[in-house]
Amino acid sequence: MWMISGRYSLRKRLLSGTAGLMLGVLLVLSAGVWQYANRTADISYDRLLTGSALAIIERIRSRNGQVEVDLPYAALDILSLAPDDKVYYVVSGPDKQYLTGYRDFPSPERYTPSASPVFYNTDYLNESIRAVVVSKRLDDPGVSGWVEVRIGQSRIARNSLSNEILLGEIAVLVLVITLALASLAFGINRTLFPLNQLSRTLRERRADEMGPLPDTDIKEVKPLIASIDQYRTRLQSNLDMMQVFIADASHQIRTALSSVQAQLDMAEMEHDKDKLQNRLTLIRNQHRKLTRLTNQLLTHALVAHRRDTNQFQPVKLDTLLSAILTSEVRDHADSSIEFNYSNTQRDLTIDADPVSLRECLRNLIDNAIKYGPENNSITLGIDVEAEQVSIFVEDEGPGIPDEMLQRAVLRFERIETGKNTLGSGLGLAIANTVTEAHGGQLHLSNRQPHGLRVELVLPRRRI
Amino acid sequence: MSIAIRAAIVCLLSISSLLAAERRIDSDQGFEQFTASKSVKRLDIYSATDTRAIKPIIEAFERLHPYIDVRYNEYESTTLYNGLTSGKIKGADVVLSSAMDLQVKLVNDGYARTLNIPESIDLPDWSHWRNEAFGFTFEPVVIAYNKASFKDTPLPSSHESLVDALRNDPEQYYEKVGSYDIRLSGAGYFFATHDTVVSSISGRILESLARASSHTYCCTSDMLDDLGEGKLALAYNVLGSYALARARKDNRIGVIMPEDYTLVMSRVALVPKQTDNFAAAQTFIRFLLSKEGQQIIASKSNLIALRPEATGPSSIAAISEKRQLRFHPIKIGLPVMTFQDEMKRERFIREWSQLFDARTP
Repeated sequence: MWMISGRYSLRKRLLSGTAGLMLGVLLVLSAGVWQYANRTADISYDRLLTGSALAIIERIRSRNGQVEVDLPYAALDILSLAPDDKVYYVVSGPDKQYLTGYRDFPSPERYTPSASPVFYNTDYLNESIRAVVVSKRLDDPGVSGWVEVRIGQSRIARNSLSNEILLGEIAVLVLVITLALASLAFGINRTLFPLNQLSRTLRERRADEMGPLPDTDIKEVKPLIASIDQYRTRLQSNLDMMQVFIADASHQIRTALSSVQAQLDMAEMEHDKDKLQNRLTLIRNQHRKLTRLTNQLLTHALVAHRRDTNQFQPVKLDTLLSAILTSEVRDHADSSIEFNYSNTQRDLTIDADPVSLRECLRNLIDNAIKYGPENNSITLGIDVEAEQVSIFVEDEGPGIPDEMLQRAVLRFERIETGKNTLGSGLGLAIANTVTEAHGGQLHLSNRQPHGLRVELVLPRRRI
Repeated sequence: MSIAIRAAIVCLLSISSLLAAERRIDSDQGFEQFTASKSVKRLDIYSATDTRAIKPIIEAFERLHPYIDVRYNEYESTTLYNGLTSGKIKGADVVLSSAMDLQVKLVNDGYARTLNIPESIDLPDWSHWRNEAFGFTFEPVVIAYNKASFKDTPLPSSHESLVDALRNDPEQYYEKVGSYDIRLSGAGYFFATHDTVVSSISGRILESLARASSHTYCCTSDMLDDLGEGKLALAYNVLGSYALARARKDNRIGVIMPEDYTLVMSRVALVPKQTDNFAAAQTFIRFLLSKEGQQIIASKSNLIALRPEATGPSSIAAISEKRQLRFHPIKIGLPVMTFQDEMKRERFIREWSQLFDARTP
């Protein structure tokens, strides 16, 4: 398996994989065909050689005690069926006595005279030669022993026959493989057809058409369709939440605006100076609430956007948390709230989005201030474990009823605390979004005897 | 086939032949420039062919290639073969010989070099071997006769009728027939052995020739001299080019091409391996085989041109005189080596000698 980086086409991958395999098969088969071609060519032309040798040996006779050979015209005529090949031969009598032909034509390395032809390869006069040797036992009066014919032929016709066979066979192989690849390409297209159809179906759907996709009979495509349907369901619930959010936000903003409007109207008609002062205080409170709501909405939008655009960078937590705490202490210098900082890992750096992290923590601290008593003690700190780091904000406020802990992170679920404090319920929702964007989890727990602990459990990845 | 496809094929063919012609001219010119810059190149031709017969061809070649200086060395074919194989003859750039068997043996034994002959020079299949040996003439083996001797007697028209005539008409033929002494004449040996390949009555021919107490000759010209003077009535298996040339000059002599079969031999050209002037040698052989070269053979030499399109007194058309003849060209290739086998040769000559030595003196 090779690495595939970036985009790739399933079709190309299947095709190239198969083509590679086929090429391997082609090479192996070609080697086989090469051997077969050589053998076939050798067999064909060895027959000519044998025919020629036998024609010669048949004409060896003894005459008056002398061995004599009458070279038949056919011997060389047969071999000229290989029109361009050279031929060399030698005939020897008993005791290897030279009779006629090419005196120094080589014999095979080991040879025991026998009537059946023995083939061998040799070189003679700078030609590569295929040769045969045949013997015949002569038992005539005065002459007895083995007579021998060696005849050899150059390899031009053999080589061209074997090349012809080789090329022919390889042409067939290539044709077969091409056909196989073509039908494979066709098959791949047919196999991928359901995917194409699926994308067409999705493309042609209206945005608000939310029913499940048409079912398929193909086992391999079923999970894909199920996943797409599942994804669409989640997307839909997100959209629904967004709609509720927009409705809630507009409702809250409208309520706050009309409340301010009503207070202003009444203030206009108020002539009593003390009462007017009272109205103004009410208006300021309403306005502050509105400002905070707007800020939180914008913060939420900001962290949601940053989550989507993934703006991570190495962040030294100590620096970030100290800065947040410093600014909080400065903003609430006139209150009796006590701020604490708990961090033993001064050098810890994690991959995070510092902007959304800062907004999130400030919101949590603001929440603690808003919902807590005047002599609140707020602790910002981190707990470090092997795989994860927890950033926590603790207060000594009323906490959240245990049964509401889960719902608290949803937007606009303002916790009933019985105390009329400015709050929109967005703080925990922002914290939840930021934590999720960092791949972590938001933990809420009540403290003993009272107070809330909000914990951002983030993975320590790529530190 | 549609006209368009035909036109395309014709077009392709003409382009390829143009390219072939181009290539040929290129290499010729390449050689010319080369020689021009290095002055005159010497081309040594070693030949077993009458100088007079080959002269017009060499003169034409020298006119075409003024930078090649041709030296012509005439040898007897066996001497030439032995000289080349033993290394006694050195510096040959082209070897021409009528001894087809010896030329083929030179090729088989690796003495010849492969030539690149353009495809535009198209040659009969039988006339070349391995792009090393190239036949360049078409010389029938004929029966020559003294016209006066056959005033009242019918001419034998085939081998068969010759055998019958020799047997049945001793008055006409006894001691009046000539043929080669195959122990002295390579060509004679070659023709006699090839009779045995082609004909089933070759044994009877030799027998009847011996019985008629034929005269045997070493050389064609002696035989033709005796024929003209009337010492002989008929000469068997004579080299056609010489016989026809003589018949053109000496109207006492006639030529028969046997109608059952007429053997045809070809003079063979090759370039030996050790040539130090390959380009010029190849140029010469290309010329020998080209239309121009063949036309000169047909019109100006006593040899007979190989290519049928050549015209003139020594062309195939002229010698056949519109008769249907059974020309039997001896293929240049392995089989002609058969009779160069030592033992085969010994045996054939022994048998021949037994026949001819038994002639009544």
